[in-house]
Amino acid sequence: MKLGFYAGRRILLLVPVLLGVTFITFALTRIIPGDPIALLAGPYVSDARKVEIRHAYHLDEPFYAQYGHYVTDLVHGDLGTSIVSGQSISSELSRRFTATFELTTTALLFSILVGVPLGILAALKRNGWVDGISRIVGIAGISIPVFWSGLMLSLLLFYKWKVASPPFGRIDPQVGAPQHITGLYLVDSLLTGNWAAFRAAFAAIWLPAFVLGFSVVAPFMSNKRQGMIEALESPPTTALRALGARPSSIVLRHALKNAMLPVVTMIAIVYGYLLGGSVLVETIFSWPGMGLYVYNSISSSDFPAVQGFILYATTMYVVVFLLLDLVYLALDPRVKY
Amino acid sequence: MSESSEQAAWEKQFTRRDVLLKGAAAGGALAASGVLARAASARPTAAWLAASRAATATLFVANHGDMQNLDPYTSSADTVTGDILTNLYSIPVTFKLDGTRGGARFAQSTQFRGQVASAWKLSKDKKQVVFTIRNGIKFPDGSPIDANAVKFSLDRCFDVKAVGSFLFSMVGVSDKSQIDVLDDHNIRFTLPKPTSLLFGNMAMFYGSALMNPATVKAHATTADPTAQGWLKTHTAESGPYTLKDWNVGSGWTLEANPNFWEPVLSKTVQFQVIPDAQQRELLIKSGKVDLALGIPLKDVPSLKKDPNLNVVSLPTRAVAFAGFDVTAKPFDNKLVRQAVLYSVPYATIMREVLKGQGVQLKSPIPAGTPDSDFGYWHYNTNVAKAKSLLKQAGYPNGFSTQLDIQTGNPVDEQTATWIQQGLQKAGINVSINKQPSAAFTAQLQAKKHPFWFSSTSWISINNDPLYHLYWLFAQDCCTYGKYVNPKVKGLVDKWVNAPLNDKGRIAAVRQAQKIIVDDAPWVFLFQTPQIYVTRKNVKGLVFYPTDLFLRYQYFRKT
Repeated sequence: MKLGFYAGRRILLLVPVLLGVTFITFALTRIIPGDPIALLAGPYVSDARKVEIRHAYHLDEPFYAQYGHYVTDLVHGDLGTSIVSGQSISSELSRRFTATFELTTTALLFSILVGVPLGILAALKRNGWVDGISRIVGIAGISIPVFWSGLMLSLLLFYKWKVASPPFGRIDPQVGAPQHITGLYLVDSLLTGNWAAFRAAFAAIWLPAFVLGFSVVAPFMSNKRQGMIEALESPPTTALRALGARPSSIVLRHALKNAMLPVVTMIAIVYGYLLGGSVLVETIFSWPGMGLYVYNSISSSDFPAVQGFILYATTMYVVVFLLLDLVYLALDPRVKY
Repeated sequence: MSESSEQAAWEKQFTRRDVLLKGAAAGGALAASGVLARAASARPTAAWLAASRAATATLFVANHGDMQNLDPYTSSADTVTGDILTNLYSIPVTFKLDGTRGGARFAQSTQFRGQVASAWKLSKDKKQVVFTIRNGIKFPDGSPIDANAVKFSLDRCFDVKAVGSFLFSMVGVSDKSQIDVLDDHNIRFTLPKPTSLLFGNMAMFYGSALMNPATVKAHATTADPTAQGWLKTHTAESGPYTLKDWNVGSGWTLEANPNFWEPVLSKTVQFQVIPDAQQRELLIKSGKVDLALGIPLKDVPSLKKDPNLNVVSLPTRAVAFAGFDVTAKPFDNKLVRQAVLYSVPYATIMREVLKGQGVQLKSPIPAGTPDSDFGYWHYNTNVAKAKSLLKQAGYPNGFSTQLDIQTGNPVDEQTATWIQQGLQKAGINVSINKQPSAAFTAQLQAKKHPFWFSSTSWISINNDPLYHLYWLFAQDCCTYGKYVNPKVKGLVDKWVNAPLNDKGRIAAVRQAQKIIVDDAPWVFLFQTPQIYVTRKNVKGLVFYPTDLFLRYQYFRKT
């Protein structure tokens, strides 16, 4: 009950946060130089006609009136239509969101599955060879730019050795997308038992997910390593050892749990960062996600698209951190609301 | 302007024997010639039937971007969308085909053939043009194409104030009432005075795309009577292809229009959006796609070494120039502008940036446009001369300035860097200012760049020298550097509608070039090349120098 009250209050608090975000975004997109109509109309079109087009998008009205239109539409669940493509922003964002979500989640799972065990091993065998290797892996992940590793791996794995599928995006166009249920190709193909689509979706996602995940292995690893070291050296662990607890039980039942908290925080931070869209990985692997979309929208001053994206990204961040707080509640008995 | 007698002669030109001869001579162009033979007679020839049987399955294309607004009359006609709209919509008149050069079949740029129209007639006073609509042709849904459908589409062009309507006004058709339907098969244009520009101005989808009236009307609302909103993401096709599906952000598929009256050799064309150029190259090298678009200039030499690829790099008439604001200091001084022109390292730019492709531009009118003359050019790189001109102009110690360019275009960035280095030697300090494209374009159209460069800013879709000068040097719209020489403007206004072969007009074109080259309102740089990369087994690449868009109906795989 208490938890429900807490979550409800947190969700209500989101309203002023998001409203503030809409205002700042709206102001910023108008301050940055650039006129979407100039690109849209082209040179031949007369100035009179450009004035008409501006009017159609309310771009000739004062700032507060434009903002008023925007917020009114938002309240009705309408994010507007893109000035450039004419597509509805909400349908475009939701389509791209599922693409980014699927890639990011796969990449995140990969980095946790690699980073956390490596961190534990490195903490247990400090300064041993596992520790050394994991440090090299971590530093490589952080310092090799993804556009380089992505292109090199494409060149080797797809072009030279033919073990990766072509960089066609989410799925081989010959196979085609599975029936739409969640919008996540891996999940949808499993749900419908469409094995061909599952294989194709998996073949398309593993390399970009690896490249993206590899770049964020290091935070999980070093975090887990540090947390484990602290947990293993903490007084309760020493006491357990003195009481004759088995080493495996100390590591698995006690240290691991205590060292999980910072990792959970890290998951939220990295997830938020990745969900913002990884422009480079998405560009290299033709992934139709949010990153490239927002990059193009900024460069063509497509105001509604940029606003919609920032609103979405903020919402994701806030929601992820809300979930994080709830997970804390479960993991850490000291936390009370 | 062509007359119907010429049209008839051209139709005769493509006899079966001729098609076979030309085909043999042109190798892969056999199919394309066959296409025309069929188009002209509207009856299949043996050559076409053979080519049609050879029509292979899907053509795979790696494209660099996604489509945007699909309404032919309100689209910004960016390179991706324009290419597709060209293949979705038919137009009354299009360009004749020409010979094969540099690995591609060329289309003409000043000679026309009917597409929706089967013939046209000019009145004696040359103020009326009557187009006859081809007999028995249909939209993809089976509804008939007649003069009323053409009129409906042209009216819509005016109603939505499309780019095409401004091009019509340029030749005197400033109101849709000047276009009237005579009967089901004939439609008449009434002009205030004779013009040589009408056909060239309308031979593009944004001038005269034929739209299916039933489809457009079905989606019109009181708030949006021209269905602009719906047509941004949907189509009302009449051309060689229909849009079968569009997976926004990933790709789309074109499927041959079963009712199209010209042969369509590639029945299905599938496009994938591959934003990264290196990946597009890997895809074409591995054979996963048949055609790659948007390949960077710098990669052409290495791709040419691949025996499986046909790499075509063709000079276009797109003029790449750096412009000055000639009303603001220091570029209001002609000597300063000339000094800049003398200090730019042209040879280095052609070698390092264009990798030996393209053409160095030496006149405001590009090579390939009738009466273009590079003979007035005298600005070969000469730093000593540049310095002495600067001294004469009152800048013995040079000055500092800023060059505006767009982000994200490597050719622009490299060219700007070479301009910066060259000007440095003459004592002019240039800082390069990169702007996002919307900001750059807005400032360009507001005429607020003091000094700017873009390699992609202008190609004249009508290959007429005075059309070109009209927009760039005599019209308020596109004189971005505010350079308007009254003498040039006088020549353009006097001769723009005169026939191309008029001696007075030719002399005017030359005189205008001489004046402009001497006034140096631009740093004349180069004519940007266009690059297409196909697999060796892909035949039927036809290069349209007017718009640079592909016509997928001619492609076939062997």
